[in-house]
Amino acid sequence: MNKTSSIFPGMHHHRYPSPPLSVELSGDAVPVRSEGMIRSFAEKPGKVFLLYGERPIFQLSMQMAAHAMADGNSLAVVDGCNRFDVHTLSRFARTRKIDPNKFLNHIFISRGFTCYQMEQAITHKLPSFLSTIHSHTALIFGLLDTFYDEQASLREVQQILQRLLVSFQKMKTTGASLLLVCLERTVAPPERNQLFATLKKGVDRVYKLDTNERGTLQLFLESQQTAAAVQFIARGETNYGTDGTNLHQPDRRGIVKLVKVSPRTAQRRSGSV
Amino acid sequence: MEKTNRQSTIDNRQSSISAWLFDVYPSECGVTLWLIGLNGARMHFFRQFTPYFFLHLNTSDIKRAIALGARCPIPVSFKQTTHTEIYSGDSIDVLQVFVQDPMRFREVVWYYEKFFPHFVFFNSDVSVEQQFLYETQLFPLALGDYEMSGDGELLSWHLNDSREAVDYELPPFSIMQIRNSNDFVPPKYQKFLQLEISYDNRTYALEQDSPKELLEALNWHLYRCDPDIVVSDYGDAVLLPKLFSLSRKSNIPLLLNRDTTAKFGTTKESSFFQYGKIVHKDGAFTLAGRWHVDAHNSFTVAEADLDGLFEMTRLTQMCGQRQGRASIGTSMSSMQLSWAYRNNVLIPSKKREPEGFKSAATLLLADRGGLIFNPPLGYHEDVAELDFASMYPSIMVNNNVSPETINCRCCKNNAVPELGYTICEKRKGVVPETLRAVVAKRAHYKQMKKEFKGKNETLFKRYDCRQSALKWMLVSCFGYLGYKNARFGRIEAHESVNAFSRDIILTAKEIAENRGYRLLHGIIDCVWLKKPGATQNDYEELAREISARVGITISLEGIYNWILFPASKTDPMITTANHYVGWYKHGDLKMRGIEARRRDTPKFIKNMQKAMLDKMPTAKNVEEISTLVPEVLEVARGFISLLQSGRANPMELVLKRHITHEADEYVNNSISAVVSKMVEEMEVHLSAGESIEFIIIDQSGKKKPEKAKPIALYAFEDGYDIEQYTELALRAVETLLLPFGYDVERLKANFDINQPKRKRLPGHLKNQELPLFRIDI
Ligand SMILES: [Zn+2]
Repeated sequence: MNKTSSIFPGMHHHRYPSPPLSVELSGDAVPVRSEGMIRSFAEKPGKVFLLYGERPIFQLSMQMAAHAMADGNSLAVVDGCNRFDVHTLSRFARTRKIDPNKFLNHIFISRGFTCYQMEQAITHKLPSFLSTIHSHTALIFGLLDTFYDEQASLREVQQILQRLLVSFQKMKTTGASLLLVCLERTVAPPERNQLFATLKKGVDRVYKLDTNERGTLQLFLESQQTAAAVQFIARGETNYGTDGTNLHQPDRRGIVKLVKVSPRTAQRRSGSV
Repeated sequence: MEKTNRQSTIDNRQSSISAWLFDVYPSECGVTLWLIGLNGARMHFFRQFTPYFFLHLNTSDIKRAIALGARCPIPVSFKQTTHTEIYSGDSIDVLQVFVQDPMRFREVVWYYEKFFPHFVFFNSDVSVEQQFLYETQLFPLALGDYEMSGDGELLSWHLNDSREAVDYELPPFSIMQIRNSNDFVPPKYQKFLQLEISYDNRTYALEQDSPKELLEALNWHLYRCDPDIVVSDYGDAVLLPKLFSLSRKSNIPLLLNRDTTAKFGTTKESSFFQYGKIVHKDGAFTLAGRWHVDAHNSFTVAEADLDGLFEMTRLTQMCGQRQGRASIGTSMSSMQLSWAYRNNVLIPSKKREPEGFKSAATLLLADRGGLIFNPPLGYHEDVAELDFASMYPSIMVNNNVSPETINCRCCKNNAVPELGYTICEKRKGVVPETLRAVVAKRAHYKQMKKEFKGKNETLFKRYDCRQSALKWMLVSCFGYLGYKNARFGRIEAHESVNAFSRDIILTAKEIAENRGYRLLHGIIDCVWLKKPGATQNDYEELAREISARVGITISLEGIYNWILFPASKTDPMITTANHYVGWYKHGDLKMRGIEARRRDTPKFIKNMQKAMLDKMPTAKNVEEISTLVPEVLEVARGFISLLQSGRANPMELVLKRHITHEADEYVNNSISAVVSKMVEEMEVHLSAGESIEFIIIDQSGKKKPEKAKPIALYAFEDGYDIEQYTELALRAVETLLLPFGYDVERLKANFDINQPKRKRLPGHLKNQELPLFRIDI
């Protein structure tokens, strides 16, 4: 039996099966049923979940997406690790007897290739886009993957993460549910591993997909924060700079007047050509 | 002839000189500029210049930024102003921060980066000399009249030159070459270097008995030659750093700089990912008042020689040393930044514009690349090749495809085929606006090259170098549009170009098929067509029709007497796109993707395949090739028996590979790993992305555990792996002769080679004589 089928046995004949996972204890993390996580994510009010661990998390997250889209709802994905694969998605829909075209037309994606783009996509584009498609659900793949790239300094990526945690909480208050999905990995510049620790503290619940004592995959609820604690983490050190440079928000389309850029011809100075 | 030092002394009166701008670099109160006068004089001047960057802040943060300025260790001043932001097209209020000490510009940026987030910074990562050049629109090698004061300040200028000029005069450069006389292996592998310098058509070996003698000899030659340009091989990584450390240890100055008050510029070596491949770049060693160009560390010089470098220097406004080491991406960015300064447009210091949300269904459509029609296997006769000239850049220019024009906020027009993206109708994009000149210039140089072919070798070569420097820019501009670190890249723009290209090639196919042509092969911007009895005129007529319809010139590259689309090495029943070889009727051979053309093929095997092909130009059709097969086989037999005898020149068996890991990171026992470790043991450090050259001595590792030897360690008695090289050679023969039934096994039988059996050809392909080359029309 492969690892994946141990989490979703029988999912081919029912859309949302009850995985027959027994409740086991392992350290501080509490083993839980994936069905519970899937259901509670789709329920109101808004929330921020982090799901990490072994590779099948992406499949599990698509199942959560499918559940959230059950009533024809749309969904947005921000992908920071190039993990979004339309072909898999299409197959996924077919195995669940969902019309792939309909499914593919209700999932919207934006890929970020740098930490700056990830920040822009999540803090500025995502909230307005969710309201455009009347959705409350977003998946964020590989939030930190681009943060490990040394083209941005550690200080800079720490600040970006802080701003992101604030915006997660802001989105949550508007009723949005966010699922952050990432692989567990140790990264090369060792000091950057603390980013993941910070992220874990800044979300409502942390789920981990891990191998249990029997060698099969098991979902664990690793931590659950109180709302106050999350707010506290998300508030830290964001007290600088301005957040008023949103130049790209598509919902401003109607109100912005275009300024024509004219070639600078009149401006002569000594020594000009 | 003894030359005098041509640096002129300056008197106290204002004066004017006709000269070329040669070098620019920051100094304490502005920039230092070097000119080469029409009269041959080399002079330097200063010009006041205060570099700046912009911050986009709210009112309270503006106050804070100004207060922070008072505490900044480097004096700064401010101005509140309004500029247009590139992506949104909005006018925004910004605080312009002027840095009073140009040498410490970066420090001020770092200082402010501590207090403000990345998205408030605009234009803060543009170097001081580039700011100066963009701001003034001066460019290196610009010929003009320069006015200066008695105390050495450049007051004004009037250029009689333009960056876009195609006929321009160059300064009478004085050039010195420095190299290691033993160029058999890179100097990195050598403990002792024997320096050789050349200028004025003479070469001098430098005595190395003591550092003192060496440095003094070099300094004397520098004085006598007074080079503008020092061209080296491995000057960045080895020669100049070694000379510099020698000079420090022995306390004898190294007079490489013309500006004796300036220091040498050095940067660290680096390995990084580019276009999915790991690339290694040596650190730079740069001079003041002279250009040091390391031919080994310069893409432009390697591809297009100094003439290519001069062309790029003028076009991109980057001085020779910077341009010489720049990637194509940096060159493109420089032109785009210049456009932004000309148009008063703000450029975010960190590109942050992400992909817009699109449905998964749209992504499925958008993610496809250019169209490819795989060719039919085997030999074909009377096939014509038609190529679109600079298809991708032309698409960008014709359709205004640019990161800021795709899906703009102001228009709605579904201009992009299939995807329905909008392209702005109100603004001209930075990418097409800068590419336009490159496309036009290259077309001109190609034309000039054609005109001088066989008539004037010097001019032919000059125009060829210029066009090939620009070619790389045009070839890369499309990939760069989708590259994550490209300053002016955006995935939607990249997807749009692909969508246009698919539309164009389908249109071309449709037109051709309506005229009775059959499309044999198509890859992105080239098509191979066939129609019995079609003449050159017919194809040219067809090309005109397609060009007129799609708006991009397509022209007849030539008609092949025969062309071979060889079988894929993994599956003998299919072909691979862009792998072919053929002789044109006009007498040229063209090949792509086959061994003779590949970089990873040893020279011996390349020579063999070329010699085989050289037997075939007279064949007018496939029938005639089949009669030549015995002769072609004889050529191969000659090469292979030499290989088998063990007497092939091992230097022609050298293989070159890029290493993907540092030596201690390899976990496997591959040849690259073995060779890297051996090199490491020689105390030569190689970084990922650097290449290694080696000869296989025993691929299996059974007889000789070291498997292969780097050429620096190779001795002739090491021999070579006869079996392995024979196998490589047979595969190259198979590429050409498989359509006539000669697979590796049959070739072995033919050449009496007894070797362990290799994977056999599928049964249905065995013993087939001439089965694969005919196609029916
Ligand atoms: Zn527009």
